[in-house]
Amino acid sequence: MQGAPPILGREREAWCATGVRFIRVPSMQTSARWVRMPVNWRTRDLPLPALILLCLTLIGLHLRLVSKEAADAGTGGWRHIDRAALERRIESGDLRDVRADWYHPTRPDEGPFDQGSFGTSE
Amino acid sequence: MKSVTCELCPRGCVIPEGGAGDCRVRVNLGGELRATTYGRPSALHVDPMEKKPLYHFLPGTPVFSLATAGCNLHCLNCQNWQLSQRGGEEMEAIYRAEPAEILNTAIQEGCHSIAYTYSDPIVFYEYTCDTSTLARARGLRNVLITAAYINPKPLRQLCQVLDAANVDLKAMDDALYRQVTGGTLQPVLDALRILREEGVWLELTNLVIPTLNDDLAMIRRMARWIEQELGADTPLHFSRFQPQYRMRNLPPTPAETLEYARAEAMDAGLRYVYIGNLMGHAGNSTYCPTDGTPLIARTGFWITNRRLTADGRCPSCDERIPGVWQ
Repeated sequence: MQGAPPILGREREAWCATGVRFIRVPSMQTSARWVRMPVNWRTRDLPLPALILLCLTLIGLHLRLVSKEAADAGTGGWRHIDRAALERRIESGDLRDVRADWYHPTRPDEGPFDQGSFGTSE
Repeated sequence: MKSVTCELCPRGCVIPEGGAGDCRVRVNLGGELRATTYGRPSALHVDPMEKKPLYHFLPGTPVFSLATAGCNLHCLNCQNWQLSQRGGEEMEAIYRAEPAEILNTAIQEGCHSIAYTYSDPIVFYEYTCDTSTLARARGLRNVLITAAYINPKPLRQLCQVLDAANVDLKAMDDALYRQVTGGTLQPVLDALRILREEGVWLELTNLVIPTLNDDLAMIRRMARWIEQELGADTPLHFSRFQPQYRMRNLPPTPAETLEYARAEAMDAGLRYVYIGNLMGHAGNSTYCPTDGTPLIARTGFWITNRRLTADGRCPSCDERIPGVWQ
């Protein structure tokens, strides 16, 4: 019986071939459905957790940015407009440039944008 | 780069030179805020007062209705989105109608009042104010159909020339306001109190949207707030939702949902609760709260029978029905 597998072998890491879950199985219980882990799996698979971590970090940063934009929009939002089209319609008389009520020049402590670096949509 | 801060509505837009407010029609040109749609409406119609809806204000009379482009809310279910979610420069149909011309046309059309409506008149505030002032001077009434997302000071000033308002109270829930309209609830509640304090005849509309604001507990909370803060005589219109614009995924409101809402609001103490947008429903008519006498029967926007006396009383029990009847 030399060379035959032990009846109860050591437990070892394995993958289900149809999934990704790590399980521990006796080494003897191998079949076509179970794939033995290669000896160097830890080093070879390091990129996977690293990739997951990177994705989570990027998602977190994105959410933070989006929530900041939403907060800015809620407290001082404005819109780009087609200024050339607006001025054409004003010149033709289709629209007006009547001075509005209820506004003031923006104070330095107001405004979500850097006024110095602002450029219009044109 | 002279930016300006708009003080008209709670958004408080900080608008850089060349940009527009969130409403799209108040534009910073050369460091001054400009009302670009002043005297340039994109919608002009003669409607029955019931369409606003105002059921306790000059019922059955025609009202000259106007609106310009733009809105300071962005409701996912907006029924006038082609008008409200565009800037003036994006509109194809623009009429040239200064305030005096509006009055002349309204009078020619046999209207006794002018409605600032369809989009939200808050964003064409100056046009509304000037037209209303002229209308008052010539004996016409002014009605504001609005979501009331406006700051207190401009609203109090506008109230001086307003006769009636129908405010669309979307829900008694701030999260839903943010989700569906892009606005917030508290400024609307504050505006409602101001309209009441200033003596403007006030009616409310609540569009009942399945799964979003049809919870009876929330409807009861809203009705109680109205009863306590505005009075039990404040008419409340529950309106049927129809899928449109960016909210086509939800079904029209079932009739029984509106009936439950009406029963809940009346149980909470409100005396005049209506069901709208549902042709032929009995809840669209006005009844005497004392003896149940039908006072004004309606089908759609049309009055089919009127038993209310000229001075606004029930012919059976002489109960005075609150409103502006003549």
